[in-house]
Amino acid sequence: MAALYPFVLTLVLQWLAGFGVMATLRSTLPRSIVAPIALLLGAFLETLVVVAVDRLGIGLSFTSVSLGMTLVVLATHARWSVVKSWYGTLVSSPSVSIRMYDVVAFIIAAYLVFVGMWAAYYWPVTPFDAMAGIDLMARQSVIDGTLNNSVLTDPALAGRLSNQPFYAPFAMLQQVIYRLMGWPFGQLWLPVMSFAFFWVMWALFRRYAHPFIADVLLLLLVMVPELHGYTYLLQTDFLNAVYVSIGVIILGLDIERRDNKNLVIAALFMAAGCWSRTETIAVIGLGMIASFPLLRNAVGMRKALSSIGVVIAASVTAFAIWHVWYFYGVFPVRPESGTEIVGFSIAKFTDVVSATFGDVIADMGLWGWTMPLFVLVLALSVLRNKSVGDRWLLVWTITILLALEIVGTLFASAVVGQTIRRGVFKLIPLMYLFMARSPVVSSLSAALQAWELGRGRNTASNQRKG
Amino acid sequence: MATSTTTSNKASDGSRPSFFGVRALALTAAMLVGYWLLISVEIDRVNPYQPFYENRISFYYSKIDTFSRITSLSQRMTLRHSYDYTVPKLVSERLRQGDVLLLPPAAYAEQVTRGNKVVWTDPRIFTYMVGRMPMVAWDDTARRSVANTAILLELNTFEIIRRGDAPQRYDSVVAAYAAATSGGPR
Repeated sequence: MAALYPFVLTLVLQWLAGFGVMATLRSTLPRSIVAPIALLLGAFLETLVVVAVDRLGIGLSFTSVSLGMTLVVLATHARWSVVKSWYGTLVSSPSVSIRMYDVVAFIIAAYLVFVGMWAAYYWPVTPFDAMAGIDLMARQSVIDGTLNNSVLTDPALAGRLSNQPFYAPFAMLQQVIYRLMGWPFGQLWLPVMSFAFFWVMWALFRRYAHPFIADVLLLLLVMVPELHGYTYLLQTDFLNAVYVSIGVIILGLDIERRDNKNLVIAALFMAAGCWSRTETIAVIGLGMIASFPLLRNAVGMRKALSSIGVVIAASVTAFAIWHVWYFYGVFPVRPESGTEIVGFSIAKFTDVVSATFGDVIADMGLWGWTMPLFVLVLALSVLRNKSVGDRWLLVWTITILLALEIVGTLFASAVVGQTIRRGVFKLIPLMYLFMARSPVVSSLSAALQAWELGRGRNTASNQRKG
Repeated sequence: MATSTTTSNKASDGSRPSFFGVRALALTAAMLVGYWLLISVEIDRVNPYQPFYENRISFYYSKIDTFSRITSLSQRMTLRHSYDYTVPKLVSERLRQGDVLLLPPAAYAEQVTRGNKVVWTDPRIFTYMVGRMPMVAWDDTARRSVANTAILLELNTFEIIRRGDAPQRYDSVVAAYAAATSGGPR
């Protein structure tokens, strides 16, 4: 438990850094999601601090990384007058209305998350990919005090490292941070991130749906079997899903208000997505292109183009720091990624699509009722309300799926049952938020609220609009 | 996210449903019953939450007390990784200065695990379990001659064979490694 104080200090620093960035950028995100977003942002920033400390030639240690993080906190609070007024708005009296079923849902969700938290704390790193890759790198980086560690030059491993140690570094750097704190297996960042992620999703569900429905959606999200497993198993995919989906959601929240005031925050989340899985750069590129008409309609051509530019620039920067700077300028060896890419073939694409739907998407053991519920809600919205619902989320859901299929076709090592299965994680939060924002759930929410208030539905509905 | 309407969860006139009201109680009961049904009713191919809860949440929760009494990191590694942790650990403890270990092929190690998958023979996993040490992977044919120490595996035990101490036994172990791989000696 000696690692507890460093853990608390790290969380405080991450939180403050996240708040500082959001304040400096004058974030207009809903207050209900600011705290978990700040924590996630701070966690991403700390990994950049690790890279900065490493490149400055300062040995990696808890002290050096924490001092670096403290500098980030100070820098993000440098414009104190701006930051102070933002904090003032943030802490003004909240208007949260908690119901009895909220308490029950919270207890159930907390129990489910706790079990994952305990597993992440107690069990050693388990997945082969992590032991042969990101955690092997993290462990040796902590021993050697540098990311350019001796695993890369060990004759016993020469030519045998494969591509696992070279995965996009976010998860590896989190392992470095948590191992530097003294946690023997690292990993505790996984439950921290899942806690923040579920908090964001719950707050968003409550923003759009009746609290009871929001609670049900939260519980269904927490209980998605495959997703829950990766809240304590060390892999890059859950992390990637958290950052990409929140980036998409933040952009969507801006579009809802027809501005792009949180563009940089969204871009940072997208960049963190590219920092956690290599192929995400293609997913984001395709997603931004596919959603361009919606962006343009919402904020105009100029802002839409600048949005795409900022998001792509941030994503490319994150991608380049690792895949260009580290691979070609720092590390003595690098993976032969080029040989992984095979030519596009319609036949293979068809096979990949068929296997994805047949073996992955249709498997309720992986996703619970997510897929049938999503289809049902979409169908009911179209039939009953003549609307598909939230087009932004729908476009991104479809585009991410398409991008995964293309990646599965182009990369020889991409396996439908593994790579695409875990890539589907990115869709899950978007699908649940899509359901929360659907016309059908909106109608259901209005009816439920009317019933709960003991009034006619129209009265309650009018009151909400008022 | 511009197309659907926003549903506020509170009435604009300030009226809110009572925390302890009958209807709040009914919704709470509905949530509890729904949750209970999801985690306890077994309907194959219809309710995926019951096996999820049974195999992961309930299983782990029931073991937390037992496992929490096992605090040593080494025991936790053994519980999780079994021989993939214990073999590298025990072997590394018996290696001497100047030993360069020849890792056996997985197929050889799997002979004593009755076909159960073995990953400790992968140099990355061996390094992960015990740290860096002089060793050569079986498929590293270019460096195989550098190795001077092999592991003779038997059921529930093993022996370190050094080429300098027992050249013939060393060669026979290497021959057994080769025989275990489908391609034979390379």
